[in-house]
Amino acid sequence: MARGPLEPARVAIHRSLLRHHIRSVVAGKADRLNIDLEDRDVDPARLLIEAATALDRGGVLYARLVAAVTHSSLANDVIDGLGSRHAVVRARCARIIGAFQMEQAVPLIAPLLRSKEWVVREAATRALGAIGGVRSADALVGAIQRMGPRPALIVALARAAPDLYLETVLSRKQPRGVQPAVATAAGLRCRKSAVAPIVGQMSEGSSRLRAAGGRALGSIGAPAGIPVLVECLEHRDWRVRLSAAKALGKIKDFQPGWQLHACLVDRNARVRSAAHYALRRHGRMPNLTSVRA
Amino acid sequence: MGLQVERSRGGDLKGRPSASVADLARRQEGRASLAADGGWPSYHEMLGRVAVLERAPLFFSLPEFILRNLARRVRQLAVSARGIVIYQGEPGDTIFFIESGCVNVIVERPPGAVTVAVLGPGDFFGEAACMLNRPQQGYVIAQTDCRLIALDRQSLNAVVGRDVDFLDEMRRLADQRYRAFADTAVQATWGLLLDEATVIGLYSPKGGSGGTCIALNLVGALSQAHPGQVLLVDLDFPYSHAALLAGLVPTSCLARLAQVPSNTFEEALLSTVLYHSGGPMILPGALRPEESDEVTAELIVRAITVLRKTFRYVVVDLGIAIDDAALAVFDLTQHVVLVAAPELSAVKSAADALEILRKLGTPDDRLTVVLNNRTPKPAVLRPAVERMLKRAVDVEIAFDGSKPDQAALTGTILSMADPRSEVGRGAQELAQIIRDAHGKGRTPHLDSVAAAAPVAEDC
Repeated sequence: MARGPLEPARVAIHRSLLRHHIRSVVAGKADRLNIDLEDRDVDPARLLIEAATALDRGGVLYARLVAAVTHSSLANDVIDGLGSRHAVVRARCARIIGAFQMEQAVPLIAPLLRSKEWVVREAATRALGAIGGVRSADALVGAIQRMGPRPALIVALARAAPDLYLETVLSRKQPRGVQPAVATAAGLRCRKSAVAPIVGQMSEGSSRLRAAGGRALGSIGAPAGIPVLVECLEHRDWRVRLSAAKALGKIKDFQPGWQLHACLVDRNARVRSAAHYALRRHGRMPNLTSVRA
Repeated sequence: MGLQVERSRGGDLKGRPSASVADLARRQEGRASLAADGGWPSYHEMLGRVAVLERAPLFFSLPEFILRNLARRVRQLAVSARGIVIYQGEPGDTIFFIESGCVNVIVERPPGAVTVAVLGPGDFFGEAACMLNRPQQGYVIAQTDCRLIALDRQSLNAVVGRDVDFLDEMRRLADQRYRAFADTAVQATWGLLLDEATVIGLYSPKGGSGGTCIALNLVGALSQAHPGQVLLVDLDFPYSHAALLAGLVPTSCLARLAQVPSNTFEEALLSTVLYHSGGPMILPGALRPEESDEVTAELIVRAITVLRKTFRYVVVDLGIAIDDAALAVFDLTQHVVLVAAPELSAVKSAADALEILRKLGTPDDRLTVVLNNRTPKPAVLRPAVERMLKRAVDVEIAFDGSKPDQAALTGTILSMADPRSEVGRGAQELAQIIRDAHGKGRTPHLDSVAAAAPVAEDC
């Protein structure tokens, strides 16, 4: 159908009507949400999420909206929508489930991580991150195992993992690629409980794991990681040296020694720059003459 | 490399523990390999999990099917001894239930760190962060190898999220425990924060155990490092003999200050204190047995409030009765010394007293047990005493012959006059424990008690 000049106005009116309907449900004037998840003009998931984020999470209005979404026929439609032929609808439903933290739907969202459509995978990843819990984290670790350490998966895992989950995953053997991703997620969570497993893995792990672990220790700012990071400054892989130098720059209690000064004349420019930055962070002006001597 | 993470029937991922996991995981190899074989917990595992959950007071009221539902969603963790499970100040979303082992809850409040609770099987922790969204109140450190059950917020909400009354009850309980731990931490450190004296209560649940003798020698040992700054308050009623044992002649006492107006109370109180030539000071509680009734809990609180500002250490020698006055002192003390004699009745009384002190909220690291041998061949030996008390004896004072009696006749304090005597050595050891725990200017660090240890997933 050809789009006429009034089409944008029609879509705007449609969107406004839908927004008004959601507001009336929130206000208690209506008790049912009538939303067409396959609506081509307006994204109902976006409007629902927009309405939810504007409300106080502990308040009555939010509780009313959650009840309207999760305890009504809309919930069934959303669950059914996960199996829709249209990628957009599947993504919408995943986003609604994530926004309203429908934990029971986790087993249904997890398969969407295998979807061929990027938009569906992205929505499912974010939804699992928002819902959180062991089941979501398990699904995300499985996806990392299959698809490799993708940034969206790592961020979602950092959000979803409950206490001591990442630590337990780090403490056991995993396929290649999983450990660095989990270490990065642990760094994003900034929990000190992850320091010991990361240090343990770094001392015997691959270059990739050491680089990821270094970044994580830097994010956490753990003094307990200083010895292993200093050791990494002399690693043959420049990525490991780079992450170690950056991490040492972030750890407050670190007293720079000759190893960090030696990085000022590293053959890799990024390592030199990171060492320079780290020394400046610790109030030491780099002295190249003494290093060369 | 073989596949280590497997997708199970239920869609859960379970992994085999690696060779680098703590020794604990290796010791529990049978269980761990069982967990790696299947996704669903076995029947016996489910029974075990339900048993742990239903032991927790949080879940007393929950019906069986909800407990089973929760048990299906929990994780089992193994933590090796000295491993830190929770860090103070961090956010948390999980309640941990102790299946086996013991953990210490330590609250770090500058300038000190205090153990506010020792939790054992059936106890739980982390509920305040999970239910009230507050930062973790303290460090939780495994005292022994522990097996924990972790229930995260999402699983809890998924199972009991609609039961508003139950969640409210959980929040109320979490808040109550949070306040109790906070109060204990404040009580244990307020003297340090205000730079006031440390109050040490010395309690002997059975007469004739040598409580007064140890109190006097403790004061002597402490005053060697801080002469003129250590006071002994003698509340061992009805016959208070501390001054007599130190060779001092009291002319007034605390009981006679009951009617003194508040504006002159401090002056009158300090003028009642007796000075020993070696440095320690003594405040008699009552000169006559009938005067002991005048020493009320209010008077003790009033007196100690004044004395804390003047001295560095205030040692209170308590009688055998746990009355209002003794309870008032326990409320004010930062450290309690329990004196037991190696006799059956004395040890039984000491075990009961320990239980009472724990119920009163005395932190475990602020409680010192002294075993005073008053005979050359004690009827009950130290291992038996420790078994009955269910804790280690911190200081044992060996039989010292007639030295304590001779010292009383001459009015000398053994810890000062003869530091090599058994009583003197015991008092020095006790003083060192108190200085380590409460000494001003010390820099306690949690690293001394704990080291970050890996956590292994058990199932």
